[in-house]
Amino acid sequence: MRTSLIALAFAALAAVGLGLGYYVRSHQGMRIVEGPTAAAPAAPAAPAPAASADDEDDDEAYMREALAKQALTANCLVCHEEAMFASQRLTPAQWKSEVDKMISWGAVLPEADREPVESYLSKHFGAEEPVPAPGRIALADVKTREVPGDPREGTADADVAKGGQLYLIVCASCHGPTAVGTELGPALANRAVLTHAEDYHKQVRDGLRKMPAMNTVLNAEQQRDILGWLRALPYDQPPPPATPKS
Amino acid sequence: MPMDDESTARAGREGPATDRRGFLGAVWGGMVAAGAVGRAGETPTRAEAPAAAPDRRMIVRTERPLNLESTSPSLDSFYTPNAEFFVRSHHGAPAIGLRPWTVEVGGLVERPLTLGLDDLAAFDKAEVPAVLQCAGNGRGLFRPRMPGLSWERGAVGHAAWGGVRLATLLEKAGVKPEAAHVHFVCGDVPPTPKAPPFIRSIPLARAQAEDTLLALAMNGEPLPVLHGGPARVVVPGWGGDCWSKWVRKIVVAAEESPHFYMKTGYRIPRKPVPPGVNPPPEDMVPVEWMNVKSLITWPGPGASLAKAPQEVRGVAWTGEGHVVKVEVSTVQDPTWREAELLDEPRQGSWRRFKLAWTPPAAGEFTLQARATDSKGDVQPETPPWNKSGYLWNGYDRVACTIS
Repeated sequence: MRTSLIALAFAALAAVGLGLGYYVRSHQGMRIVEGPTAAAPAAPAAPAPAASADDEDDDEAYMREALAKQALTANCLVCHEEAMFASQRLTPAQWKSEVDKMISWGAVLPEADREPVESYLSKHFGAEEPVPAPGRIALADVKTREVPGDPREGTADADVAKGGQLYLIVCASCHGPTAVGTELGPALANRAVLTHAEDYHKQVRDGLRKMPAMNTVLNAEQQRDILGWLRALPYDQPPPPATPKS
Repeated sequence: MPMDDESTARAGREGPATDRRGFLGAVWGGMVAAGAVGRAGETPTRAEAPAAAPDRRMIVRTERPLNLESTSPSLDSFYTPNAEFFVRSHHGAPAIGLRPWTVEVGGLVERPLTLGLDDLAAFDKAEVPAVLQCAGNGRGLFRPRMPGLSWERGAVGHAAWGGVRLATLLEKAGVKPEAAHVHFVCGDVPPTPKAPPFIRSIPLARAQAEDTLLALAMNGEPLPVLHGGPARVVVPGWGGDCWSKWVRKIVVAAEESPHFYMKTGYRIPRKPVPPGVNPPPEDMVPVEWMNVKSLITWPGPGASLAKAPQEVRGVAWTGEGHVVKVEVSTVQDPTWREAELLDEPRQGSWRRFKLAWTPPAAGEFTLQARATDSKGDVQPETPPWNKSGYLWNGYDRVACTIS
């Protein structure tokens, strides 16, 4: 059941992402083809208004929002989910400071996206915006890789040495040679995701957000070997640098 | 160290198991209504759940990392059930069980140790009832707001923590004279190497205190992973920032931890400042002792009550010392009445209180509570603002409707 739920969640995410991508692309495309004076797509129920500066501004704003949201989704949800920002209510200065902090902690936000993202956060999660009621859940129903699962499932036959070689070729460029993460991909070593074999296999096979699907690169056995190697990584990673920041 | 109230402890522990069946139906209904997806394999065993069953489901602050807040019904007992105890994660639980867990004791010691869980279990056992409260509990109640998880009332809980005294381990390892701080290197891994590791330290004297533990058990069960299992630090009276989870290394040092969560995070102004003011680093000190605080656990927020005698219940605790008085009134009639205090006064633990209250009329009432501790500190109506929103201890207020 968990698998299909996660599949559903991934599918929904993918659909949203794809939809957003197509929307953005089609809008961009339309702009290029039709030029700056083209009318916005008319709402079906409303009488189609003549093209006006207002419509165009609305359209521009809508697209900026969509792009900002996409930048947030692609770059921030690598490490945490949306509620991390959606549950907060801050001033523009506070949001700017939070974005700066996250960038200093390794978030990859292209410079061009920084201002739109800050505006998006300030607009939707501003200090004066009402706070929605939080969700409620019984602990036993929390379906998350945050809670460690079975640390041995599915890797009894793994060829760890082979897994290590494959990891270096296929995964290390984003997750780092010792799997402690880079700016492109999060840490894997000693994280709870390694104890959820099914989720691991699905995500590697199908990809997630910025991570491409590996189904054309790795077969199931190779994925298993890599998981075996990841699980065998020592606790003692190089000591983290002491970098107090103010 | 025996428990204060064994029968309450048992009731608290067994509470969720028996209650769970009762409210599963309600949970299920709620989830369907909310459009959430549940686990289809787990069908409600009793669909006819009584409508009045309290909703003990946790408040979701974030799911990744997992941050869950307890509700009033979950806190309405001497010990908080493990399954309903608030969860606070910075980087999320590590993979547990990839290989046997060991705890190293090193740094400025004569004899470095590497201890497996069996070794730790072989030491003299200690058990301490203590309140664990997130330093940021109540952050969502400060105005103006500040960044961080918007905890309101329930990032707190009370448990019987069992394990080995940290002092015992330090004594076995032999602390060198120049030692002054004890660092805890934990199992949680930051998502990127640029994100700061959660490595904090406490002063050596506090690590050597009688009641400071490396806990392996919580309310008589093996310490759950979400609460830091297999091994976490327990520092009764101090904020949760000092209760490091998933401890892998105990490093004795001359200086405090140089990492972000020690040097920048979890610091409050030495002296109160006006809202919006950020004092320079030298005027900021680590969050250590909690402050005096009470929480009304019944009725819950938004309760509908009859105009008939009611029993207002709650819990109260402080950092150093113990609670000596809890007073209750309503915002509409702010005449404070002293509540009856239960449970023995004991540093680090909480005391339940209760008070008979008959609503004077139908309408909207807001109950409020304030505690006083053995140092004479009184819970303020509104605590001093600080930029990270730590240590909120304003009057606890619960609005209810009388009909």
